[in-house]
Amino acid sequence: MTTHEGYREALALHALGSLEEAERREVEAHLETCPHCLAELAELREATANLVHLATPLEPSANHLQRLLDALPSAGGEPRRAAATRASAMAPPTPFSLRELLKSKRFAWSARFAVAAVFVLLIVSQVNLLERLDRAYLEIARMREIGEFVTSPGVTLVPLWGTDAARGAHAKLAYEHATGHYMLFSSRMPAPPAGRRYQLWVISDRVRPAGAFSADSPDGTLSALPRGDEPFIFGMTLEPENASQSDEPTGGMVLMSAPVHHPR
Amino acid sequence: MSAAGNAKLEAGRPEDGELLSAVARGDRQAYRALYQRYAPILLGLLSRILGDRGEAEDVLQEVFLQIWKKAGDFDERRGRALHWLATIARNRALDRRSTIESRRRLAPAALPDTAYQQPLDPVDAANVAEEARHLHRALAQIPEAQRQVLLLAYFDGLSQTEIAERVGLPLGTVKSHARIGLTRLRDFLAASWADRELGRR
Repeated sequence: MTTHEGYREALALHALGSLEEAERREVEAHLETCPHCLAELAELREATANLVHLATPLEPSANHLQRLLDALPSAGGEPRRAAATRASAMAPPTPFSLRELLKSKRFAWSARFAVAAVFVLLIVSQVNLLERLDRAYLEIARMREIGEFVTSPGVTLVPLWGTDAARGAHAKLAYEHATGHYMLFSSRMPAPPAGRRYQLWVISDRVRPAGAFSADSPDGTLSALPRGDEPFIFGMTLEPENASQSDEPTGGMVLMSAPVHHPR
Repeated sequence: MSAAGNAKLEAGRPEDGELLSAVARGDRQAYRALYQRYAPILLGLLSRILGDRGEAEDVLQEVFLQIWKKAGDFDERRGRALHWLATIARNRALDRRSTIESRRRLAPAALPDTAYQQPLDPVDAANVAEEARHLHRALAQIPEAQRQVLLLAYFDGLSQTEIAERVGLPLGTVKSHARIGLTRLRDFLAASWADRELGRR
């Protein structure tokens, strides 16, 4: 099974968790590259989860909720006791008191310092780890967004190449003809000199400004799209930063695309 | 939590998403409300998968402990809260079931013998019952063979091969039954919800 349709056929069994291991791995590999199948899988999973309504609701036994609440980790993050099981709803546990431990004579000063140091280290490393995780999640979400945009059917991908003014620089402009939404991926672009920024142009028999571009936010909406004046090229120049939007390029061309025709 | 959020939690019936985000911030009151809203249907699901009320209550504890820790992972844009909770519960139950099966051969999963009791909150019960009606209506429109494949996969956790053996159909037919059945279910449910939303306006 190698075709997109073949993988699509298997999505329902995947949503139900019933694919055999080897096929499941194949489907998961396909899902990483196919936003369409990923979206369909999400719908099928939601449909699968609806089957819960075939179950007849049952009232949990009287002390179930209380045992659960007792088993929750307390606000400080220390579990009051291990996860409750049916057998554990008996004697209340002796609460662990850090304060009493610290007060005890056996607990020497050196040990107190050691404990304090370990706590500080733990907290610092936890915070670092959480921050890194957050960044990683954002990064993954962003990559997914980029992947979905670039592979959606209405999006055209146009390569741009550095001119003599920026040898070795290159970029790919992905844009959606219907909405003008674009993302620009560039590599080895020289940083703009002070007071200047990059400006994108749509060039045919006329030259129209298509939007300012900054390396920090490489996506936005094209302010000009070709309308019946194809072929055209995309070009990028350096323009003064303070100009709201130049009507005519004043700087030399830094990046240029080949002539672009739209499929009709 | 914002004062407005608190007021809403205290005032009455917060949305599921609000409850889950309050739980993610460690709000026990919200946790209790979420439990009261969904423990009965989840216990019903667990009992049906495990065929044993005691095991089901045990897994229900695990499920709600996991919810306490992972409530922040719930994303409203990706689906309904109950479905997220049911997915957690079902996965846990199927894990437990295979552990039990590896210890002893499980008797065919019988429907739980406990009589149906009213869940705590009649409004929650009514909402759950309404969703159940939508599902029954949608399932009634799916041919028996396809429905059977869906149920064996969902409640018994059977793989494609196991389903094929159980119902005596080729693997490819099981795959297409699952596909057509689940796609239809999705479409019928979507139509049924759209009707309901229109009816409300």
